[in-house]
Amino acid sequence: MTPDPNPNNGAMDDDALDQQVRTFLAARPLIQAHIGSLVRDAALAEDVFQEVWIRFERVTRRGEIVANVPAWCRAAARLVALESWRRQGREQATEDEELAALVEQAYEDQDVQAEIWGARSAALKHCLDLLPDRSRDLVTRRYRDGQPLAEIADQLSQSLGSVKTAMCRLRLALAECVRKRLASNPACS
Amino acid sequence: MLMNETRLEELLLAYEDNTLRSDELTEFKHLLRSSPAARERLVEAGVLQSVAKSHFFIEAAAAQLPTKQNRLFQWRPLMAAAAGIVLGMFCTSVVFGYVGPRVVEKVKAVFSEGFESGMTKTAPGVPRVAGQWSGDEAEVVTSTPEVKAHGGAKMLRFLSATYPGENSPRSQWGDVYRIVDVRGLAGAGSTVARVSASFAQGVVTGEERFACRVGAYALDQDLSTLPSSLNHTWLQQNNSATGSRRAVLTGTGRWQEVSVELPITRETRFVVLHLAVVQEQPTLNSGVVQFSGHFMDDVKVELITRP
Repeated sequence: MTPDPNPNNGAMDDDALDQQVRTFLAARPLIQAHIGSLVRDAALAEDVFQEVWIRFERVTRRGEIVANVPAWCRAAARLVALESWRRQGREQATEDEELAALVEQAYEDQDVQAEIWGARSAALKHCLDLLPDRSRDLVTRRYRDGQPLAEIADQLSQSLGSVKTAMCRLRLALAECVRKRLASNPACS
Repeated sequence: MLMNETRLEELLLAYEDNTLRSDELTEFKHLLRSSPAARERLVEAGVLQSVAKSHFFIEAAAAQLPTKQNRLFQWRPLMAAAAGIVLGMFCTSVVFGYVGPRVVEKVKAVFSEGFESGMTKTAPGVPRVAGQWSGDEAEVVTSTPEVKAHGGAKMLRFLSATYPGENSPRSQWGDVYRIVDVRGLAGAGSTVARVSASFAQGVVTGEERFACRVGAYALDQDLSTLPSSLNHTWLQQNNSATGSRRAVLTGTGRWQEVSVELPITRETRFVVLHLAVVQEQPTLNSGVVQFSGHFMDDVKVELITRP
């Protein structure tokens, strides 16, 4: 066996791979958000995210360095989503190619400031905890259970319009809460 | 460009629900193309979806997530921790599925229904006792020319998105429920209940789209303590763990199995199954959907325990 001329190479590789996993974890909110925007199906989004992680873990385990982790994950997510749609015999969620490209661009825009999304996510969790019961119920139905507006309206015996209005106000209020939270804690932004 | 935030929010919600009309699609694309702020808001909405989901799921169920999975990842501590964080974010199924080949699991079938004997139709309303099918109107039928029973000769046919006496002004959901008694069945170790059912549809018109849903709620309460007004909302708010999965029904006579897993403990007494079909398109402003040919068969509950 030829001796390794630089015995520290292994440690350096390990550091790089650890950094790669840290980058994935830091980018997780955006990676999950991208998948949600891409597939627009809560159950499928879970499956795709988990499969993206498994593929990422596999390449990391093999020692491959991923230069741009968010971009790699977006590409992997598109591939996994396409495979899932084909397997299920379904059409892809975004048939309009221009819209799909605009959604991709929206996430690419954020690559340059990916680190702020960790702080935004933390602020958002804080704001979610402040929600009154009715809003909390709405958010739970929408995001934990993945219910479309029409289904929520059906279960609450309310009109679709009133649920849509409530959800719009709720989301804008959460966005405002996040902005205020970040502004009052500049160290986080 | 000045952006009407409320209008953008409406378009984002329609985009998320895949219900953008063609004029809205044009408007939405114009906004995204011309406004970086609109694109950033799309990302914010996506982050809200992922953060809220994990935040509220963790509140409901993370206390029951297994804690030993990390030691099964032998390669690198950070990788193991990351896997625990990543896979533990949403549900336990993949945590178990990922490490599954390395551990011995015990699978115990606790409920199986092929509708071959016994019941003929659902009892009206949400059930209050174990061992009874109830919910919206549905009946046991034999195979039809379009849909053959999924094993055996019979299956359950969804008839209506309501039941006699409910007087619902508007409903697109045909829901059926069953309470399964799991007292004392959780094993030593981590146990999940896997609930599965198969769904199929007959011929539907071009504009119609239907989906099916499997939901399950773990209850620690005794049935005698359930409120008289037991309903879906109560189940959502009072379960000790829950899981659901939804799938669009495609093709004619094609059976699609949908399954969901939820963690249960020694305190779990019952699992309430909520199985449904829904008319997604066209949406209704009023009235109740009468299902023309939507079927369910082969409902199972298995408890999977890993040491």
